Amino acid sequence: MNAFAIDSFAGIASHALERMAFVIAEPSGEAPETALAECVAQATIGLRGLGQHVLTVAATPGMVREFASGMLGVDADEVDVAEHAQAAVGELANVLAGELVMLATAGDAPASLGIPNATSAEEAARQLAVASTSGFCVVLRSDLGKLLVLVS
Amino acid sequence: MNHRILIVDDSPLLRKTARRAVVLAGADPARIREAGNGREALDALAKEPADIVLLDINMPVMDGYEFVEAQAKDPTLTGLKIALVTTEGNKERLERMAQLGVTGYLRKPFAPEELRALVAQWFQEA
Repeated sequence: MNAFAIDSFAGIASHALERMAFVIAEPSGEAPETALAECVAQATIGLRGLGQHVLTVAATPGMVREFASGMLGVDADEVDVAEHAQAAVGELANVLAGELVMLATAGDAPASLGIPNATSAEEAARQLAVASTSGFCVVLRSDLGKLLVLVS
Repeated sequence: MNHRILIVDDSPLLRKTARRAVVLAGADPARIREAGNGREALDALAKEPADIVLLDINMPVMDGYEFVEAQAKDPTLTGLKIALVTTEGNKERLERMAQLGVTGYLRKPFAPEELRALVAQWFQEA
């Protein structure tokens, strides 16, 4: 992806957070390694038909709280992060992978998604290393937390 | 509202969100059921029919496509209203789903209000 497409994807990811859960998030200049170290849940999803790529999503506790509260219509303080963290990053991986496919194909190519899988911080760090050299990384910051999206 | 609704999604968070939207549309919470994939949905429908199915596509075990293909062949499931609630945007696959009787489509990411409005519209039409 070129810089324009990465900027577009960052905007699409911000838009998805806002539409799904009323989370206002903007790209942050923070190093992805720093953001990843604060994350409590990670998920990966494979993309087929655009070459073989993996999209990884990781979220900090504050992002989980904000995202789940917006989706469920409850106060952020009421969200049990341990209960919702994995479901939140899994759903975000699914949605953002779908958005990436649409960005690349506009619905005209038979690309498909895998199933989101929970993954470890170590595996996410490995995906970050790959994404840093042959993919891209996006860090979004909201009021309460951060979301890291890696495409490798 | 007396409509029987089945929410089919492998994400528990999405199922909760959809349940909330459907209740806000006027559904009776006691008449809403949930399934985690297409196989579970077929099993649930065999036990008790539904009027409306909100269906994810990208699920383990049996995905949404396989569910729609299976229900289209089952005469006991005639008249089921199905809405895809999914990240899927491939035009060819969506056309195939429409040919098999799928009449609703809401692409993720959606705002909860959009799902509420879709279901409320179907309630009015029923």
